[in-house]
Amino acid sequence: MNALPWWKNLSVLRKIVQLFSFVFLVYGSGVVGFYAADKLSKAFPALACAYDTKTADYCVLIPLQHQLGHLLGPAIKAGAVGLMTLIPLLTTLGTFLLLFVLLNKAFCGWVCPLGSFQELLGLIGQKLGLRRRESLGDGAVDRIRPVKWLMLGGLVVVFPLLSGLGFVDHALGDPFCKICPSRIMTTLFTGHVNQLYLDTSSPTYMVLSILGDTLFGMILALGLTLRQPFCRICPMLAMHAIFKKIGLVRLVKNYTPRCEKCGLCAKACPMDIREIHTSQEKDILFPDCTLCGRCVEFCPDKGVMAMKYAVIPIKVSDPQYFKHRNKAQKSWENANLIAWLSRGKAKTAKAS
Amino acid sequence: MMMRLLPLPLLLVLTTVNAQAAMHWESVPHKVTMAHIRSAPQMFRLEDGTGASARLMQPDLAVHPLPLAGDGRVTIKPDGKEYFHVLIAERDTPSGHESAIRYFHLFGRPTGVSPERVTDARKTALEIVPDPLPREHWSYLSNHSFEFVLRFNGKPLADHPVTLTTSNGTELTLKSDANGRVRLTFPDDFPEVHPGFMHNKPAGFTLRLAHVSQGKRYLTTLAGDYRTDPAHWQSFYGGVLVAGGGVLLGGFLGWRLRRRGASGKGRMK
Repeated sequence: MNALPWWKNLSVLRKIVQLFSFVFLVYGSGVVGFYAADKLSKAFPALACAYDTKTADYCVLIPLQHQLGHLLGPAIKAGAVGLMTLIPLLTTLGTFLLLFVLLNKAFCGWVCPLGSFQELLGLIGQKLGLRRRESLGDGAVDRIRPVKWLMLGGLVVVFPLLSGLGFVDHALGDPFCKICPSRIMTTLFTGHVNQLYLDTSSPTYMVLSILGDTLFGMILALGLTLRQPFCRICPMLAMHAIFKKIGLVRLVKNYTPRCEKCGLCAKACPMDIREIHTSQEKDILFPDCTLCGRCVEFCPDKGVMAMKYAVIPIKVSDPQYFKHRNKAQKSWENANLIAWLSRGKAKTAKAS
Repeated sequence: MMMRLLPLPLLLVLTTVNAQAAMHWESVPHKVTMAHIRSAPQMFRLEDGTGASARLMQPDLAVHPLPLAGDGRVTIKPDGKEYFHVLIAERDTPSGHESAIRYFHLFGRPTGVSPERVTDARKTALEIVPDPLPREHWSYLSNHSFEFVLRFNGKPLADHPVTLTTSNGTELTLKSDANGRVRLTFPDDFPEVHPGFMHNKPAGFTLRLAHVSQGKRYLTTLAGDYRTDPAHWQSFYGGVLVAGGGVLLGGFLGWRLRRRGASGKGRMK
């Protein structure tokens, strides 16, 4: 059986795109320009950070929080909500949607710098032999799933709005940015340590900085052993879920009775979406999906699963591809530090 | 040329004395509520600007004359154009030419012109150009370094002194490098620091540059505001310690998950 050429391996292609996106989004000011006015959209559907002085674009959650906190909240309070208040908000959402429609949730699985960073941590963990193979349990997955909606509703919408209305501290004007691990990660990657801090200026700022730093530390450790720990609670994932119907990239399934006995798609899913296995629906783009395409890669039946761009198939499940991909995955997973040390020990024992 | 031959202490005294008399822009503090932050006008005053004429460069590089009130005040209402506007004042003096520049930000709609073109645009013969300007979400901060380029007739002024004075009383002189570039670390000279950005008023700074060419003396100033270094209330080592705690917590959670996985609990069916 011939090895799968890299350019036919969807995971390899995705990693190349992720690397390119990471470099562009974290260091891309050299291409697009330094100033806010030069940025790609200022409402990007992935966690690119404005605190990173070298970034090529800003995440949509930044203007959303600021416009709700600095514009809509005060305007409601003053009883002066008009077109001039709503236009910036609608422009932000409109810009986000214009981009989002092109790649849909693939912004998470292919473009987001924090998503790529977590995959890098996973890769390091796997190569160190730390990577656990099992997915999270159903109960844990079910308990974690609502958190992303709370993050979006509470930290991106409600608190900024309440801050603008004067009901809560000004420190809660952009609370998601204050706890976002991408802020710390991207600035550290550009050589700036000014976003890793403990803020003692007020109790609210202190709590937010402790939450942000702790979350960042947890991701560093959890990312080594658990797939995509932050993606599971990311408010961007929730925001994508709201608009997923309008995106051009689709994930479709042609259910067959063989699916009942298989379940490899769900095992391959880094977000532990068990419904892709059990669903009999055509559309299997679930709210937690990041459109990484692993389910399609690891489906052993011809044409059962497919990733499509509008109506054009990009990747369709195929038994031959599955055989190659599965073999490549196994040899990749077996190549790790602990396996290498064990083999060394076994050889020494045999020799003695 | 003559200034370069003078001994440095005398040069510093001369530049300081000359600088103190130089025309410059100052912001006029006025209260703006959060509801009107985007629509509120901004107020400035041209200090020592008798006889000067002023103009405003907008983010799309359009330039308009700016009438000055008797006390040198100008009020700039939002013109619907987003990003950096430039106040420019100029006057001829018996010995040469004086100018004063100040950049400020207004909300509005994007113009499609990069602020880089606004800073690059030649505004006066002698000019101190921020490279770059602190963009949105950023500001000049004490203890932080920012770069400026000294230009005369569009060309960099190498090895040339420039003087900084702050409203907190600091005066210091720096020299440009071979490319006319000056790296300035704003002094941490706030007499009183309260925790939090909102509780510290920004201080004003003025950079002053003098140059003699063909017997004509040119003097220019660049003015702006700088804020207190947040390191006064934000601890990096504290952040590292908390993140370290997060690593331990994450490691513990990961270990628990692995144990649950190994014992079969919670494993996917």
